[in-house]
Amino acid sequence: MNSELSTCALCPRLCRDRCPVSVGSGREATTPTSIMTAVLLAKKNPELEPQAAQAVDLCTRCGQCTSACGLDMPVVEMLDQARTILQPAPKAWVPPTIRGNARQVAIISGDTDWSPALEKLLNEDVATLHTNDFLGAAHQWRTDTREAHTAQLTELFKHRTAITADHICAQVIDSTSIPIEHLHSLLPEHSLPRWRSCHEPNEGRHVSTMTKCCGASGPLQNTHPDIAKEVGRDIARRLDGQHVYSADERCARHLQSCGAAVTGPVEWLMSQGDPDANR
Amino acid sequence: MNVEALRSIGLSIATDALHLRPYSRDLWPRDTLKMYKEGVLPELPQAVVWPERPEHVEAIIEWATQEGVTIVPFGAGSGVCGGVRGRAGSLVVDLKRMNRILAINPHNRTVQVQSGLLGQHLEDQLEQTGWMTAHSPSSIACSTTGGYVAARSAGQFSSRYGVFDDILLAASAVTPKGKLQTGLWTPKENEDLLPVLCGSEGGLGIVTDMLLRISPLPSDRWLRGYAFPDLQSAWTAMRELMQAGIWPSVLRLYDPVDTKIGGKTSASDAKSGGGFAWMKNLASKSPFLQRHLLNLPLALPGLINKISAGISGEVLLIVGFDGPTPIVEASTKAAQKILANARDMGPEPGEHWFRHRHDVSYKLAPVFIAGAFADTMEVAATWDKLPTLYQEVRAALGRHTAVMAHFSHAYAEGCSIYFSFMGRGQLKTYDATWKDALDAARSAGGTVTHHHGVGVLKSEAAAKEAGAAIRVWNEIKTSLDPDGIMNPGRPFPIDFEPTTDDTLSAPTDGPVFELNETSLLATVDPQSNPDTLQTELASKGYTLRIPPDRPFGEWLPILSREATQAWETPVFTIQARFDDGVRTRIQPAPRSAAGPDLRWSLMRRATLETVQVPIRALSGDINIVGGHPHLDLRDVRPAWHTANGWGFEKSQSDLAEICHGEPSSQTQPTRNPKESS
Repeated sequence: MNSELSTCALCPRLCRDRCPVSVGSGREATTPTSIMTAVLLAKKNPELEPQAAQAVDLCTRCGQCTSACGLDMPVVEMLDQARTILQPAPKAWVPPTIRGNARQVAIISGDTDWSPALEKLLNEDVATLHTNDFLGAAHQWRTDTREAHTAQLTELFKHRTAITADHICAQVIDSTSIPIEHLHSLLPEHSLPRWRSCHEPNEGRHVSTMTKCCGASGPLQNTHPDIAKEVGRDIARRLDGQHVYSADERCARHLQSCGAAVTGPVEWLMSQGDPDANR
Repeated sequence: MNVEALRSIGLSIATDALHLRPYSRDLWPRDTLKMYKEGVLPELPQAVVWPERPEHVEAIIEWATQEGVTIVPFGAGSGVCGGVRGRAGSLVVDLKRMNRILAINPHNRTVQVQSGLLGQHLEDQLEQTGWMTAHSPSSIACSTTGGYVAARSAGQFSSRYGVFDDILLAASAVTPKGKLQTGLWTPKENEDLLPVLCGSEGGLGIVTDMLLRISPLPSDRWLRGYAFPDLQSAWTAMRELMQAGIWPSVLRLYDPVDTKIGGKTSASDAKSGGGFAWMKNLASKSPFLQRHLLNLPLALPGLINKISAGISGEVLLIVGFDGPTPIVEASTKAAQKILANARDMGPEPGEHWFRHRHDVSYKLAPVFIAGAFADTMEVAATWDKLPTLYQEVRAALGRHTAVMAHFSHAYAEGCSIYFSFMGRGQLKTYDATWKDALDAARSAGGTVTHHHGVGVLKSEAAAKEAGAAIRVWNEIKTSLDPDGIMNPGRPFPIDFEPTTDDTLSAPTDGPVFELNETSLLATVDPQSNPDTLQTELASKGYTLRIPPDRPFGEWLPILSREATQAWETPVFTIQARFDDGVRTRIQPAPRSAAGPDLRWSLMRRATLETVQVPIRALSGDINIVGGHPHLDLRDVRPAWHTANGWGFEKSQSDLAEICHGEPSSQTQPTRNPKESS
């Protein structure tokens, strides 16, 4: 850990142009290098631990630093380790209840229950699960609680498939072996708007923050709301009034609150009513 | 510091340590060493503010002037000399939210950008429209356009596309005395202060936006490696390539140690990962050996340098051309004649370099982790002084550290040397290394920095290099920043008192005082009639590369930035005398980042006594009526041109051949200082 931490802390911030939080906010503290430096300094000087504990939450776990890094440094995993050391363990996770017996479970993480519309679209029953803590993501993003949390989730979703429109919930499920479907991928492709999406795959070396998930609509909104807003505003500015579709509902809501014209998959699903209407 | 007034106008400000700490240092290895060894960072500034438009910058500077607060402008903090390191009570102005491309003009080949834009983002966005600035420093992912102006950056393709000074056409800045428009944007009645703004390291004001030259994305790129028996023969080839007027985009020569460590001159070495591959392979099998493989040169730099000095064997030169295909084909044809006596290693060494050209920055961390330090030093000199500069600086660095070097950023007049060194020890060793190396660079006649800028590290050395011309800086600084709030002490120490250079005297035996045939430079009388100069030079087999239509002393002070092209440098060293009789000489050698270019403002404030200008051999020009129907002048780069056609030097005959116009008998015209070339 120390050697990896030092490698990042001593790097001249070579991934900064890919870090959406750093690019969007312009703040030096948000670069992966600065976050790692904060953790490294806290190791040498315990008085700096509170700052380091704050710093690790500046990362949205989008992973673009690792894909940009010439050394493939596992930044997200390193920060999970740091979080374990620097932040107190969260209270034990109480799994939410799944309502219904259907094989597919819609994870409702916002205000809108979109399961009826999905049932209509799929022409089959869909169970629901309401979460307001990203399925206990805080437990998954630490090395000391991850294993127990994974077991709880696996037990919760036993023999079922999760359906989500939320990238943070998707990240949490993705780190288990639970089958998962993204709501976006269930929508009839021909009915979707042909606008640009924040969550389209794009393998470009240096893409603008619009075409990759910035993650700013996740827990960053709770830990550093000003910065989450700055990142959203930066993307809204780059969109320059263009109406876009995002495959992630949370992202769409966040960007809407920052002044962008964005439609998400839930909004799209709900507005369609009859899914055949767009055929 | 009461920052509420700034908050009230909607500015985003932070005063907490979480956000301030990263602004306490840039990438100066001395501060890295201190941080890593002792967990200590320089002082924290008091606040950081993120302006989003020029009006914000104006409000910030106005407020800071009223409050007497020191301002430190900040780009992306990739400087390696401590230029933006924190200081107590200061306000950092982070410009990265001013990151827009404002306009692209394909006809004029310009782009207007804001100063907080990351270099990589600029190139990404330009690429989508078919253009590039071609400014590609190894820090491109972590540096901004404003930083390039502040520290006079150079990119890896500077031999063809120029350093940032050459790419920069205009800039707007905000100073404590108001807005400043420079370069092509200079109001007619004002002095153009772009040369002084560029390299001012935040000491005059904050650059908000700028106009840059752009070039079309190359349709062709050619890269190849050539092995030479020794440095001297490789230097000669580099010089001839640059003086032939065929404009390679890449010329990189590795010294024997760098060549051997990189394992670049034999096919078997290249495949196995380097000339010391056996050592690396052995070490990879044992963590103990791996640790000591790094420790050996660190512990015994003297021994290692002695062994290295004894290394004989080939040195590697990477040659690259890019641009429109017909030009690349013609240029490579000409280049291969010059390179005929070298061992052609094929495209792989060049392509390998291209693929890994930004990887060097990943190599520093392991050295610090091993308890040592690593740093780089880039100096430059004209070709005639280059061997001495290399030997002297290498010896100085080698007294304390293990050292290797490569030669890049080549020009018709000279070249830069990029030393990489690593040593074991504390700050005392680090400081002693730099002191010796900077002294050596000065005494060998080189500039102390080619493109890394000055910062804290080289401020005194840069001031010594500027000599009495520092008066010019002081005068401009006082007029634009009378209270001294803008990044004080950068790039020159406050109240630096230059010693008078008694070796300078009034020139005699003109009008050509000195002919540097190796570097193709002539030191001439600025008052002399150009015809007289040409006659004198012709008698020695040379002609002026850019002949003026009036004496240089009248031509240069009114020379418009549009009157020369990116690849044309109208003047090098100048000597001038102030009214009180004090003489000064500014020697850019051939490019420098040792603070701003003070020559142009010096010409307005002192009497020019000598000017050093580029010359070329009289070899029988090839004149083509009509130029080329499809190729652009700016890509072909003939020796001279008129509305009727282009003229090529004999060394450019392959370029002349691709132009299908008719030969003519026209001769090179003189250049008007105000007319666009």
